[in-house]
Amino acid sequence: MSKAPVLSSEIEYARTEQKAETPSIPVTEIGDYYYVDLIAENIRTNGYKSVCLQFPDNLIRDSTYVASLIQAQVDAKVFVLADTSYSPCCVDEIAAQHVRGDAVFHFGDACLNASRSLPVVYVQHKNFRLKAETIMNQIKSSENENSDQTTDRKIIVYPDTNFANTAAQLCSVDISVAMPAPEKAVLIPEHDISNAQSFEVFPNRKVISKTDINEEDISQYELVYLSDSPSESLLLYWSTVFSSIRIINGNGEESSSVPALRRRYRNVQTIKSAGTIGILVNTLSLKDSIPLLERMRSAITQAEKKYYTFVVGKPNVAKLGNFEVVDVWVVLGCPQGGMIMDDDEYIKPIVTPYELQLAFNDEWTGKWLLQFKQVLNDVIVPKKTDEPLFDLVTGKFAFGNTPLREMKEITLNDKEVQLSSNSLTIRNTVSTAAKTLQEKSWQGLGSDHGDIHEESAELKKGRTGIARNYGEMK
Amino acid sequence: MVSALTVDHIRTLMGRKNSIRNISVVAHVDHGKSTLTDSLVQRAGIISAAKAGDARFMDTRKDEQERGITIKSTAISLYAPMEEEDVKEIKQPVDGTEFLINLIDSPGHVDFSSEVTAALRVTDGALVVVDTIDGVCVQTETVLRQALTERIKPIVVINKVDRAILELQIDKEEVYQTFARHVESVNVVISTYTDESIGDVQVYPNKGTVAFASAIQGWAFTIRQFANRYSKKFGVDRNKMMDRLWGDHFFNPKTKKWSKSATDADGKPLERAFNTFILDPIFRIYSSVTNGRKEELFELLPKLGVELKGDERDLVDKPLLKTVMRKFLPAADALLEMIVLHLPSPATAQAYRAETLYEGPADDEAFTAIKNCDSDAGLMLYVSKMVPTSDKGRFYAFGRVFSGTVKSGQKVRIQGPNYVPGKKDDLFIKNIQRTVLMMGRSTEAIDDCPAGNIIGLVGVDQFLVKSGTLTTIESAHNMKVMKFSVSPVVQVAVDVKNAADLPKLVEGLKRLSKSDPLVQTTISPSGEHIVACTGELHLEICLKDLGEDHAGIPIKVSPPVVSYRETCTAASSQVALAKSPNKHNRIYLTAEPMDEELALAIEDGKINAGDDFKARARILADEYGWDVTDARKIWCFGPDGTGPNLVVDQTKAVQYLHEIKDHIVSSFQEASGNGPMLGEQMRAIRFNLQDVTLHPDAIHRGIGQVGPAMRRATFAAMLLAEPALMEPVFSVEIACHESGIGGIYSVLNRKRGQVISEIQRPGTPQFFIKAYLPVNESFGFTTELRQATGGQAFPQMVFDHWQTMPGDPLDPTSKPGVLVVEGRKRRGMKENAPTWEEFYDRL
Repeated sequence: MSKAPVLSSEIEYARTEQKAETPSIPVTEIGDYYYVDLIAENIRTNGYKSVCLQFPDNLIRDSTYVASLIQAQVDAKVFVLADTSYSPCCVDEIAAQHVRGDAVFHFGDACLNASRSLPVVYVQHKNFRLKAETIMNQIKSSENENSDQTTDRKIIVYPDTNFANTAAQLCSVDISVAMPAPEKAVLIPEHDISNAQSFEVFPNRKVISKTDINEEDISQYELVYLSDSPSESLLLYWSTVFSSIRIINGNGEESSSVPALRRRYRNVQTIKSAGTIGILVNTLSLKDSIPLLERMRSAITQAEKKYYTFVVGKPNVAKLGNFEVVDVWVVLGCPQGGMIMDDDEYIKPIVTPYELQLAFNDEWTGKWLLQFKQVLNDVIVPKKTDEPLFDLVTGKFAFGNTPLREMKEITLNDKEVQLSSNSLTIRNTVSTAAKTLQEKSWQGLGSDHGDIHEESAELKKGRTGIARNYGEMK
Repeated sequence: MVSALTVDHIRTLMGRKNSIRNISVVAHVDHGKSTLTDSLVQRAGIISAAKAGDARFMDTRKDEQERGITIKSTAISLYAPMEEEDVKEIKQPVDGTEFLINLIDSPGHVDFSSEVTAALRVTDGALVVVDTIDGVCVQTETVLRQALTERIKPIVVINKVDRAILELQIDKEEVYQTFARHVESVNVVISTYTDESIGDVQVYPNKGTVAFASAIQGWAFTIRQFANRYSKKFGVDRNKMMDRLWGDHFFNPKTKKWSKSATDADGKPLERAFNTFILDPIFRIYSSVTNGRKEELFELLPKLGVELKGDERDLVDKPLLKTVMRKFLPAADALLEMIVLHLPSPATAQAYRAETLYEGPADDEAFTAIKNCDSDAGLMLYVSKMVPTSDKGRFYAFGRVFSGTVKSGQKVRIQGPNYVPGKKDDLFIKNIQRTVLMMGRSTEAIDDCPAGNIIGLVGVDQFLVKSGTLTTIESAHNMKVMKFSVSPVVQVAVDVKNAADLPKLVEGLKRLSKSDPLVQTTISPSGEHIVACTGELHLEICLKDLGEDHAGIPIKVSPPVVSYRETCTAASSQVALAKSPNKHNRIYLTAEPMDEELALAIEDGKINAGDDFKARARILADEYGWDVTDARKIWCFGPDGTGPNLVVDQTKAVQYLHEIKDHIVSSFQEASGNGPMLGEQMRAIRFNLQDVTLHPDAIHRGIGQVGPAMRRATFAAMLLAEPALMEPVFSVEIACHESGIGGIYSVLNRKRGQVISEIQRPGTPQFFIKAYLPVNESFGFTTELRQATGGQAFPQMVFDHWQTMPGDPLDPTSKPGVLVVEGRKRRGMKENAPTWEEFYDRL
């Protein structure tokens, strides 16, 4: 390289072009597809004055059509909630409260988790593509392959809420189906779920089945998951419960890529050697989230680690990357859509609350739980030893994994502190943050000036406006 | 024979720092270290005389006894009373005539050379054993090199002389020539690696620094001993006599005159003095015993001062030979004399070793204490390895006191390898529970241990993984970390057969990492427990220990795999541009290969991230042809802040650049530790930061933005620079009979081996073949070689270097491409390696 390329220059900010989106289905069919009549009826009977429609990103292009169709039928104000901050499967109550909505109508696949206050209506759409026969054929096709077990194969079908209608028809041919059954919310359209059983493994669902399923026998069942965008966290959870899992998408195609539980093992080990844990709150509406957050905080404190709590909206690599001091992130989010399972791109590992429990209790059972209620109820306080922790990931001792204990141990009279007074104290206060700051080569404005007498810079008028649209660019 | 010593007596000797000798016994595998050590141990009165030669006292493990090879190094203390007259010859200060020898027997197999390194660190002298028949082998050379870089003085024992006489049936002059050749080869190695500060460490038979021995028969001699006998007889000064008994000195029995030419005045050949005065009596004993001419023997013995007791006279053959030779030339006498007279005491050695032992400045309290070997100063103790105790999971910390005195119950600072003065990481302040003397299989409790001695400590093992520094001096830096000559390049994934045993496996892995100086246990990104070792034998022993001892459960083991390195072979074909996630920051980076010499220098720690940047720049410019400006602007090493990849800042006038340096550095550690092709470490790549464009608002150029951009830029720049895989290569040495050569060549060819040299041992049909063999091909190599040569050839393999594999790793049909695809599959990554386009952003 003989010559360096051009020196730093003004950045030419590119504006993203706006594209007009067409609806996912012909406009004339939208009303029927989303059961607009049923929605309007529900609004009228409940006398809602202001309602919110929540669409996932892939259906948002239909939102305006749906909204205007509803608006035409009812007296209430209809809002479309744009840009859901957290998982699209959950109801965004906060956004609804901004417009003082009386109820939220949720479209697309839903986790059906109970929300804290607002009445919720889950709207499923009709499915033209996936037929019950297709599913039957798929299930049968593999039956032939291993024909010896055809007679008493035990199958449970778990459809996305959108496929529930189609799946319900399977009951007639002696296949069990886990149907949506939210606790308080209303479903449009409704299903007949009388005499259905509920199971721990399917929260907010009830299984309709011709034969009685024994809760203990559930591990002998094969699960068929009907979904266009299968949830990685659910798959991983079920892989520890069922004998096998098959995924069938909306076009009737099958796949069976289940995330490997083994990969999570490493993450569990990294928690043990972490000093600072970032609690990433990835939901604001789930019912059990606040008690779990409290349990997590107390468990982390008991383990003598530090924590920070973050709410960053939709998490991405850059946002989490900004918090360098965090060693491990733990995500508090919807078990279905709010977990970050694929953390390859992320700078620091991302774990679930259950994995936090595994690490603190120093166990690895082959189970992998998702439900909030079961997690972190029984954290064993680790026995205090002064032995260093052997980090299995690196094969060396881990240091700084119990910053709270170190804080307690350090007193200003400590000779160690006096020796290194600059690196551990800020104005006579002992702080582990001071240590982090000392390790940086750039410690803030002014720290890099030293003795160099540069000519002072000339004052110029700066840019005005906000980042996506500065003043001079008009 | 000396009776066993009391601990009190030993403790008194331990206090006399001029009367201590710390030595390691080192050699190539099967050259007779442990047997030789046994004959020394016999002398200290620990095992009976009859058993020396086949007891293998120093092999403390069952498998060592069974296999007949040493796996772990073992220490023992010996007692050597000397004659007043001999003591006068010692060229360093002495305290009385009693000496304490702390001896460590080390393994000879290359797979365990880390044990040798750990042994050398705590000793000052090395007893190098060389087989008369095999001569100087690869491991002899390796251990000598290690000893010299640690500033350890060597002395040599040429062993198995009996085989030369009995099996090879060569005549006296040929024996002499063989000895001379071996001494010469040792000196060649010594002069190559010698360090000026310890002076001349070459070995000379005529100065008494070479002994000749048959460990199995329990005899040995130095020229000095024979000179002692003859100096009285001839009335010549002993030192003069020593000179005459080696080299071109001839004695004319007719004229009773010494001459320097091999012929007398009449042109008749004369016999070399060494042959006449030393080899002749030995040859006569051998021939009379093996030919069954007992009368001749009984006639000869009184002349040599050997007296046989009643029933000893009835012995025949080898037992008789053994008894006679042991009385004539007791091995222990020769060896102990050589050790005491020629090896340095701790006081002498630490004066010149201090600067290679201590990391801190050469004028602080700890350095001075080490240099003076001062038992009254603050404690400086280096723990070089962990020795398992009978209590499962607990270890003795085995080390050497370099200054001060270590006592039971004493409060010490335990500083691990990550300790930095003034910080609290890797520092523990704990009491030492007990101090013990390590005596082969057993231990003896002792109250304290002064500077210069080797000691075992109880109660500090929980705070150290493999090695560390113990001190009472608060400002003390660490003792230097040991550099190993081998690398853990062979790895397997281990798992439990029964899921409930997982906690036991975890505990077992922790114990395994402690008990072996080199083994690495980690967890791979796909969540598997990985055990990395130096070679197949090391792996076998580690897994056996893990399964049977440390974890005590049945274990599943994956087939062995090799670790690779990712590198590049040309400069980037274009500047790699990567944008931050918000598109508002840009990094322009190029990659280029780094000289192999520089990469090695970084790996050896000669060029170090911690060095003063100006001094480092000077070396880089002078020795590696770098531009000084570039050399001064090295931002970081990676991975782990020390690895053999560099980021050089070549930008000009970039605003806010210093703000993002930390971000670039931390991101580079991650990127260089997990390359884009296989997720393996990068090696020998230099990255040049060409330009950086940054957003004017600090919030938009944080680490969350710059970090990912640097990672992308690093990968793109590397993939643009003709990426390649590097595989580890063993250097193999095979000794074999002529008839096996064909077989060796065919196996080597099949396994991508490359022969470097083929040497025939003069006068024998024995051949030495040296070759390079990719580690990947080495699995099962030993077995195949045995089959191909009818069980004759036995290879010694040791990691030698990283070699760039020809072929494009991104092409799935090439050899490295196949490895990439397989490796990615195993790690659960997408099958096809990414191309540079995936990390490149368009302007």
